Amino acid sequence: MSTNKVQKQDVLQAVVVASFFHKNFWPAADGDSACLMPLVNRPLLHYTLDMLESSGIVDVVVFCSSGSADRIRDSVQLATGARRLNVVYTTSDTCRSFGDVLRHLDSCALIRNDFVLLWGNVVGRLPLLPLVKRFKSLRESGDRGAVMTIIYQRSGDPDAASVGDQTIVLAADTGRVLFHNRARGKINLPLELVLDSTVDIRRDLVDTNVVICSTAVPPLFADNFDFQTKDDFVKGLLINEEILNSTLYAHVVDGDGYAGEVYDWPSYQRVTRDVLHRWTYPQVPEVVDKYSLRYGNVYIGENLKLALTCNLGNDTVVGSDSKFGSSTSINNAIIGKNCRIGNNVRIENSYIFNDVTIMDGSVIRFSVIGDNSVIKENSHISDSCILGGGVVIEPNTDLNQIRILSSDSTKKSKKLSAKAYAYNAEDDSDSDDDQDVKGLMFRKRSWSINSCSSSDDDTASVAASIPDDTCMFYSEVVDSLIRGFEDHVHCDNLILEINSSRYAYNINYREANFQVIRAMLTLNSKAELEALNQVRYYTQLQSKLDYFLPVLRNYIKSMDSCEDCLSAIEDIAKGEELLNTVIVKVIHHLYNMNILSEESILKWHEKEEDTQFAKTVREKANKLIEWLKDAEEETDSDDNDDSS
Amino acid sequence: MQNWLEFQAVVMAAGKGSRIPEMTATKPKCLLPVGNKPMIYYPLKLLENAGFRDTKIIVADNYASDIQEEVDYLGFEMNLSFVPIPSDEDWGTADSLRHISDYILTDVIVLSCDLITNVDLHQVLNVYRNNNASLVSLYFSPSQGEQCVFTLPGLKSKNKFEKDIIGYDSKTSRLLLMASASDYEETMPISSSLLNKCSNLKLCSKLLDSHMYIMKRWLVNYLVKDVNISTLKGELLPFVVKKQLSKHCRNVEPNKKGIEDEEEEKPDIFNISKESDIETNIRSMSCFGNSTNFEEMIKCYACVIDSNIGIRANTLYDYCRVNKIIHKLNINLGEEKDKISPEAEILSNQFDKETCFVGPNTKIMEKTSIKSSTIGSRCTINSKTRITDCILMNGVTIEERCVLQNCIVCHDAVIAAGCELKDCLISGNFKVPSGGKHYNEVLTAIDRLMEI
Repeated sequence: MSTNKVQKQDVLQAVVVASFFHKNFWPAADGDSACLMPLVNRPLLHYTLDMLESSGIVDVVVFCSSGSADRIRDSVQLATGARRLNVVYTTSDTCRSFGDVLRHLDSCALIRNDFVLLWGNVVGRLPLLPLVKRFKSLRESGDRGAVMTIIYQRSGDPDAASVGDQTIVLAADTGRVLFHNRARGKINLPLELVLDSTVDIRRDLVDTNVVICSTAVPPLFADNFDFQTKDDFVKGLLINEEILNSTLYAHVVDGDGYAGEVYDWPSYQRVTRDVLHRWTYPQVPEVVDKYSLRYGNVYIGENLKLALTCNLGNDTVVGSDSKFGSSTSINNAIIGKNCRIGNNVRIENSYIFNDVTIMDGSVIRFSVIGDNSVIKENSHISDSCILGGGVVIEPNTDLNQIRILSSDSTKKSKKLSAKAYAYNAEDDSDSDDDQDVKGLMFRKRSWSINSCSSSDDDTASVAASIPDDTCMFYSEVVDSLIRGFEDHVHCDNLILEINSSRYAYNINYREANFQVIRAMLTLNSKAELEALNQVRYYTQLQSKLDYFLPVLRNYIKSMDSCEDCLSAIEDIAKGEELLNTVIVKVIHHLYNMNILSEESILKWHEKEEDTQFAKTVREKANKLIEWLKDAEEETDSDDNDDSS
Repeated sequence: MQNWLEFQAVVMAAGKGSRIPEMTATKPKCLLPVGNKPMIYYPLKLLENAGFRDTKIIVADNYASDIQEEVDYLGFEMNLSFVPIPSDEDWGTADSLRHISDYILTDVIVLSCDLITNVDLHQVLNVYRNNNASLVSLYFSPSQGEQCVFTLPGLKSKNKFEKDIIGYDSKTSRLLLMASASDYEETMPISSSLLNKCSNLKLCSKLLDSHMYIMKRWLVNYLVKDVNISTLKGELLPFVVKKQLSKHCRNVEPNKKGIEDEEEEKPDIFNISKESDIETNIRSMSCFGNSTNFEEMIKCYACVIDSNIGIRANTLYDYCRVNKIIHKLNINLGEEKDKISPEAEILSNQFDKETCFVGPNTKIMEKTSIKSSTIGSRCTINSKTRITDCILMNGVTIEERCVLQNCIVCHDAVIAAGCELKDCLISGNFKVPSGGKHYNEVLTAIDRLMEI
């Protein structure tokens, strides 16, 4: 006891924020208790506490909203790692953001020393003590103003979609953070930074959401009421470095540990994969729970009932007490505890939580099924469906890219059956989070390279391979056009709007022509497209083109711009089957509207192309070309007549 | 038939030395003494040590014979051929290279005459070979700790550094950005294509560009086609480095060329950088290697070396610095007898042999004190004179009772009796009248200064 007292000042504290303030996982988990959401059949918070325990931290302060405090407390009791931890809970109802939490901590005066601050969604293993020591010695010997060391993880895969969502500039020798930019795209680096020291510009870093803070951090939040998130904090400190006299440092985890943050579905997928691939060892299923590991990262729980013909593929976890029917195949999926899976069921790349029943003949791909749900016979659930707890899906239902709740609390959802309500994101005007909620990544990896592809976001996935500024410009044009069409905005105003985005993103004329046409041809969302047949699609497209005629006139004037226009059409048709079927009609229509000149069409047609697609398109256009040539001759002869 | 050679070496020695006009008004920069050798000795020695047998030296035609004479005297074993270029036409380094493009059959290594270093050339060549680079540029990171502090001879002026900003990939040291600090006002935009290309970019403003480049033969072809490029560092390099980022659409190429004549004038660098057939063959049959590099034709690399000594003696500051530390460098300066020529006549008893260089046919009278100085050939130093930290070039005459401290005395200058000079720069052929006392001055004939 006495030694404890003496070292009270030296005991390292950790603050775990177990309230997420975002609805990324909704409806599978709500914002308050999302840290209890299972990841590989284990609540997220348990991973975090285990990590703290294994890195030698004893005192832990868990922050949670008062509504979920009891649930979290109960869950922590069960965590194996938490037994050796001295956990203190602190709750507040007024906190609406990360900044509020730190202000709350400041007012509670719970912090005595340098501390580790992390969310309750961090999975991994990190030797934290050496990092804290280094931070302390840095403050004592080098930079007294150092208030925070941010821990980043170097991403192993340079092409992964998660990479590149932030640009960080570090001083090469000290690791001090000099510049931070959340957005993709180009950055404007203050020249003096470069002249003062050698800097590293890094895009290969992923947030771990673990930071080491000095005691100065909560008061800084308290003094600056506009700091809502960690990014605000970083930004504010970098801008007002002289005033606040505080500096930030970065530590890059590279090989000496692993830390993954689960903040949305793509990161959930990534971290799950890393857990199965044992990057988080010793936090792997068979160590922390009763599983047995088989070849190919297949983890099998206790007391299972597997039919003889049931097939378990690679990277699969099957929770205990579950039951599987015959001819069922499971690949790359996590099945919770006490699930009932019927015969002939196919589950791929999906996450099934506890106590779920899936009946015969159902197919589940790239989806999340919440606790206690029931999927009845022959249902198809695919492509980033998120089902909340307790949902019952009636037989023979086809669902994709949809969020389903068990009850209609907001009265805005569409009723599918007694216990399934489809949540319609577009109608939900009072959702305050302005950023898109990302769903599971369900497209093939090779396809989404270089893109920021959130799978729900059509514009981003279409624009997979074009550079960022152009991509941003393109999506703004799409926004402008959609709004313009729906609200009947005057085309002159639209042109003004497009031009201003053109200047904002520094897009040259020809690129702008190209992107405007592309945008115009991709106004329909994926879902709408599927509902349309060829004829209706074309009439719709035609009406849109007619509506935007002044815009077209403005951009497509010269030979060059015609060329851009045609290549844009070709480009979109390549990815869009419906447009492909009517491409010749579209070109003809544009010709009739005097947008495309016949020379440009002829020239485009004559251009030698290597790709198979370009050839078939040109073959399709043969008829139009012949017709054009005839018409040309006629006009030529007319001209001759006139001149003679 | 020299096709089996891997590299050909070219030394650029036609530079006018415009940054040090006081010293180069009557003498080419490459012949300024560093230690007891003309400056050009060092890059040539570097090449010879690395095993080069043939070297081309580009010289200005008005100094061609002078340079040839002095270089011949240095006794190199390799074949040296001198290529004169017109001195009155302000040719850049790229122009010079274009001029000799017919003689260049292989990949080429270009050095500047003012490069003084003890770096192992093979280290740089290996960077080139390992990466199958199009271009490799050598940089020295600034020496830490040992900062040379001294007063510059001549007028007190701010020592302005032209800051270049170099960006390269930390891991592969691929060179991706070249810019000058003066290009930007307050912020430096970094394009997204660059950031996408390289997720860990190191930006450095303190690296010293050695002006040593190793490049592929096709770059010379490109130079021949694009006559607008006149310098290597200023124009060709930034251009090539930048071109790495742009995409090359091959399909459009033939069409465009046919239609637009303008396109012909600006030759496309991608057309010139085609792989040879054999390389394509090798690649298609090889199971080794990464397919990601497949499309990349242009690959520039930076070779950043920190442990070695590297100096470019192109400013007064660097020139003085290299002269002060040259005896510490372990560049092969030859035998001890070379350091103090046996043909010199030294009668002084206060002569510090360790820190001085003396050229042949120099006469140093008794009762003189000479320390840490470099003295050229054909000099006469009369008695009762004290010389510390000075550079005396060839043919300097110093009369009695002079005190010289930290001065540079250019060739054939005369310092009359009783002068006291501190931190001065005396230009060539100038005669300092007797009894003069000068501090921090540039002493030069007025009319010549006007000329500059």
